Amino acid sequence: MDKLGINPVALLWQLVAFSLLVFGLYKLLYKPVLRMLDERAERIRKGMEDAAKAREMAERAQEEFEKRIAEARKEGQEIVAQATQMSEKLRQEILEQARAEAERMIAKERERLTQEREQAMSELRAQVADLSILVAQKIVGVSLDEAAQRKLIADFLREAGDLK
Amino acid sequence: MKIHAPLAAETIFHLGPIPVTNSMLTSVLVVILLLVLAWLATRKMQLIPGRYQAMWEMVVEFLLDLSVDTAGKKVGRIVFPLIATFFIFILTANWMGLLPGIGPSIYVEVAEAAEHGTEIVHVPLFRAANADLNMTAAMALLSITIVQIAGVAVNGVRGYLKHLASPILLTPVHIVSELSHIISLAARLFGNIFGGEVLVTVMYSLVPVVVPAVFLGLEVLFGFIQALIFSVLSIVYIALATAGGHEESGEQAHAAAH
Repeated sequence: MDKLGINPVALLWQLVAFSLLVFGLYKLLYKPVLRMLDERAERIRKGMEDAAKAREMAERAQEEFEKRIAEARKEGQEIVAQATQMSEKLRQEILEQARAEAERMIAKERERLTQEREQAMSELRAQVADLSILVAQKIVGVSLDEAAQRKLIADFLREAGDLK
Repeated sequence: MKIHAPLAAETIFHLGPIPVTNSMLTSVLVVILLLVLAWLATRKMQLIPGRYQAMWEMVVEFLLDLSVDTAGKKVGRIVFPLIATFFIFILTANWMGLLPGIGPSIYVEVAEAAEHGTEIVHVPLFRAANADLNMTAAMALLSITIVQIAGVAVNGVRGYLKHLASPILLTPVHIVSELSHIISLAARLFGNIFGGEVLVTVMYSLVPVVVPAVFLGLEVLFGFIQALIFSVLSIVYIALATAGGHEESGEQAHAAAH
C-alpha cells in the first residue's frame, strides 16, 4: 500500500475534491444546460405544434371559404331559378289575365252590338211601319185605284216580311 | 540518465497536518479549471447558443444520452451528474497531464526523510491527477458505492441481498466481484495514465525529437478512451445493479470494455 502511494489522507482529499467537482458541475453545468436543452426542445415542440395548428387553421379556413362560395353559388342559382320561375308565372298570369280581359271585352262588345242591332231593328221596324202608313196615306190620298193599292200593300208587306 | 518514476505521488509541502502531494495539487487545479470553464459556459446562457455554449451542451447531451440509454430514463438521469463528472474530470485530468509543466518537467526541491536526517530531492511540482492511485481509487470507491446504493434504492434491501446471494453458494464470489470492480476501475485508469507518462518520459530521454510527439498523440487518444471506459463501466455497473440480474450482458460489456 505504501509502495503504491495509497494513504487515507490523500484518498480523502481526492474524494472531497472530486465530490466538490460533482456538486459544482451539477450547479454550474448540468442543471443550467439541461434546463436550456429542455427549454429549447419545448420551444421547438411548441413551434412545430403551432405550425401544425396554423396549417390546420388555414386548411379549415380554406375549406370554410370553399363551402361558403359553394353555398353562395347554390343560393344564387336558387334565386335565379326562383326569379325565373316567378317571372314565368307572372307572365302566364298576365297573359291569362289579358286573354280573359280581351275575351270579356269581346263578349261584351258582341253583346252590345247584338243589343244595338236588335234595338235598331225594332226601331227600324217601327219606323218602317209608320213610314208605310204615311206613304200609303199620301199615295192613297192622291190617286190610287183599287188594283194598285192592293199590289202596293202586298209588295210592302212582302218586303217588310223580308226585312224581318 | 536515470529515469526517476515512482509509483507514489510525492509530497510537495504540508498544509497543517496534511501532506500535500503533487497529484493533489493537479486535481485541485483541474477542479478549479473545470468549474471556471463551466461557469463561463452557463453564466449567460442563450436559447440560440454560441460555439462555446454549444460545445458544452453537446458534451452534456452526449453524457446524458450515455447515462440514460444504459441505465434507463429514471436511474440514468439521477446518476448522470456522477457519470458525466467522471468523464469530464478524467478526460481533463488526462489531457492536462500531457501539457508541458505537468509531469516530470517543472521540479521543486523538497526535504525528504532519509536514512540519516533529511535529504533534498527534486520532485515534479505537478503530477497527472490520475497517475496517482489515490485519485483513481477515490473515484472507483465512489462509483462502486453509488452502484450499491442504487441497487438498494431500486430493488430494496431484500432485492439487493437476494441479487447478491443468488445462488447462495456464490455469495462470496459476488462480494469479491463487487470489490474487484473497485480495484479494476482504479488500477486500469492509474496504470494507463501512469504507464503513459512513464512511456513518454522514456521516449523523451531516448529520442528527444519527433518520436515523443507520436506517443503524446497516442496519449491523447488513451486519455479519452480511459475517461470513456471509466464512465461507461460505472453506468453499466449501475444499470446491472438496478435492473436486477442480467449478469451475462454485464459481463459481456465488462469484457468488451477491457
